Amino acid sequence: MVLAETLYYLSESGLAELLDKLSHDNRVYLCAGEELEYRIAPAEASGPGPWRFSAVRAVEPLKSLLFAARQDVSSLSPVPQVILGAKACDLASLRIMDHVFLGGDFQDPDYKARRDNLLIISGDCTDAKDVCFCTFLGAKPYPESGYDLNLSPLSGGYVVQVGSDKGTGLIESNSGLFQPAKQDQLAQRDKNRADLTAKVERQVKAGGLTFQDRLDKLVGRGSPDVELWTRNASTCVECGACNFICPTCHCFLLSDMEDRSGFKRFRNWDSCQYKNFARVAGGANQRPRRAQRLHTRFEKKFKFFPDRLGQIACTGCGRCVEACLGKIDMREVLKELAR
Amino acid sequence: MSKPASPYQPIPVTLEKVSQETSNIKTFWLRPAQPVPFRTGQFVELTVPGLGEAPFTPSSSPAVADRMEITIMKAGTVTDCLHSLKAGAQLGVRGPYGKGYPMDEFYGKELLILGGGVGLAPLRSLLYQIFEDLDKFPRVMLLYGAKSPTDLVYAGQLEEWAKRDKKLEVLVTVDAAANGWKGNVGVVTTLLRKIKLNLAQTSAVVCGPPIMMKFATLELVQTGLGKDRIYLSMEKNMSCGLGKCGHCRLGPYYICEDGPVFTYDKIEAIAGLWE
Repeated sequence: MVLAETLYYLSESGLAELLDKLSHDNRVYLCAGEELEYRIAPAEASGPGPWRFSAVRAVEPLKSLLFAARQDVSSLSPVPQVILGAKACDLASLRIMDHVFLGGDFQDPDYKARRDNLLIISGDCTDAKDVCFCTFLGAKPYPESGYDLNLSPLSGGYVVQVGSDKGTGLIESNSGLFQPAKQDQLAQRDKNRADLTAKVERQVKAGGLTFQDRLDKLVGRGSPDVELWTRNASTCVECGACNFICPTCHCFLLSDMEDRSGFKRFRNWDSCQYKNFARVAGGANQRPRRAQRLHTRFEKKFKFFPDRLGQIACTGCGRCVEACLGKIDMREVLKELAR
Repeated sequence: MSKPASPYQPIPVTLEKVSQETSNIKTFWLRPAQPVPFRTGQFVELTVPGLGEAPFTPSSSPAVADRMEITIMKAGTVTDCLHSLKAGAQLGVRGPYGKGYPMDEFYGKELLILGGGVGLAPLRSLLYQIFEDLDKFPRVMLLYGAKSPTDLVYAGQLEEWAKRDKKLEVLVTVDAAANGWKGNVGVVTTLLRKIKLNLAQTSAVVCGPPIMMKFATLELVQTGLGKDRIYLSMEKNMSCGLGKCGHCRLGPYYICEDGPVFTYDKIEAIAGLWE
């Protein structure tokens, strides 16, 4: 049976059944856990249902399933994976990651294998963390693209939207679980979305993110020598947490290790906030000061990627705000830039 | 033998010969397990198995694909180890990466080549390419400087090149003369006073330590040469060479993809350019 519609209704029990079926051939990850502190974890670790559908994005970024902190470059991990509950901000980050690892003259084989084998069942946000600011960047707290299926929670079930051929295939092979969505269900979904968008917008406005300046212009004209960077970087302890928790930070360093058969090469996450990130042999360093390195982080996100790809490499997820030991707040720095 | 499955993995190379250029610079003669064709000015990542890799621009002729020479100054972990190796050592290489020198833009120009120290290494590869196409150049000027007479790389070749063709002018200087040195003394930019440039027909290529590149560039600009006619080798700490790892970003560019050669007008506004 071919279903022509792209909007369906899936009950909670239907979702449980679908996941059970997917878990036979895939490693299924859920964004699940405690209220507002959701984690991306294997479904089996979440225990038997009913589990709580995540209201907001997980603590860790979606890149953790695609871009390992340390990866042997000679081995591939093409295990089929399913992520359930990824949010719009994480889907936005994949456009950056895909550009980096799949674009250009060379593709990263491990990223490609993982990406091709990832089924994304995303979900609308139904709440916001106090650090969320996606709407300021023109995004919505619900996915508009980049998913295979998207789920919009209603009471007792979900409105399902199909976003890819893979998603269509999934519906076709499980057609008994999906009913056509009804008008009142769609109306409820749209109201939920509008209400939450308004909530995030209020939060963004209350936090003082009210300016309309183009961020690439703001960051582009700011020299790393201006006082703002020095002051904001003064509490940076160079831990790299902002990079590692960021869904779009992709920098890495190749390192080699001897082994019996010769040597192994690893691709390791790296941080532009580390002092030696730009150091060359002989000791020259383009960015020896923390202020220069904080500036470079903003320049990469708000100038470099917009120039290259037409997209800011910040999704407004607020993870770096939560992770920073020095309490450096991206929102505050942007506000200062606009002043 | 096929290429490695991963673009991060090198192909094996055998170190066939090592020649000492100066007290801290050696040329490594490499034979890759399969040919590595490159365009002059492109770079490769050279692996010391188990220790790591570093980016270098070959100093040999791009017309030769089954052999490669790389001239390397001792400056860090990988290069220290390389300097301890003898013929027969097994290494790895991957690449080439980057765009290299835009030869098409050079043809027909009076080409002014400024080199400093080990920066003559990539320029030697460029010179070999120029020798292949010498009929396309009305004039080629090589201005080369090193700290002292014993720090000149390719000293024998410099003398040969000076006699090679009347189109080719070779001027050499040292910062500090030693006993017996009868040549020029002074930084490389002092040689600019010894030649007559036809500015409208000239393009300049500069490669050397950052401080030398900076002052050479500023002096060329002051002389009246267009910023879009000054080609600079901006090598940084490329790790992947593939435009992915983020290390070699210079403002809006990745040096590995967009460079390593840039005209000055493209990069002059970038903070920390000469660091």
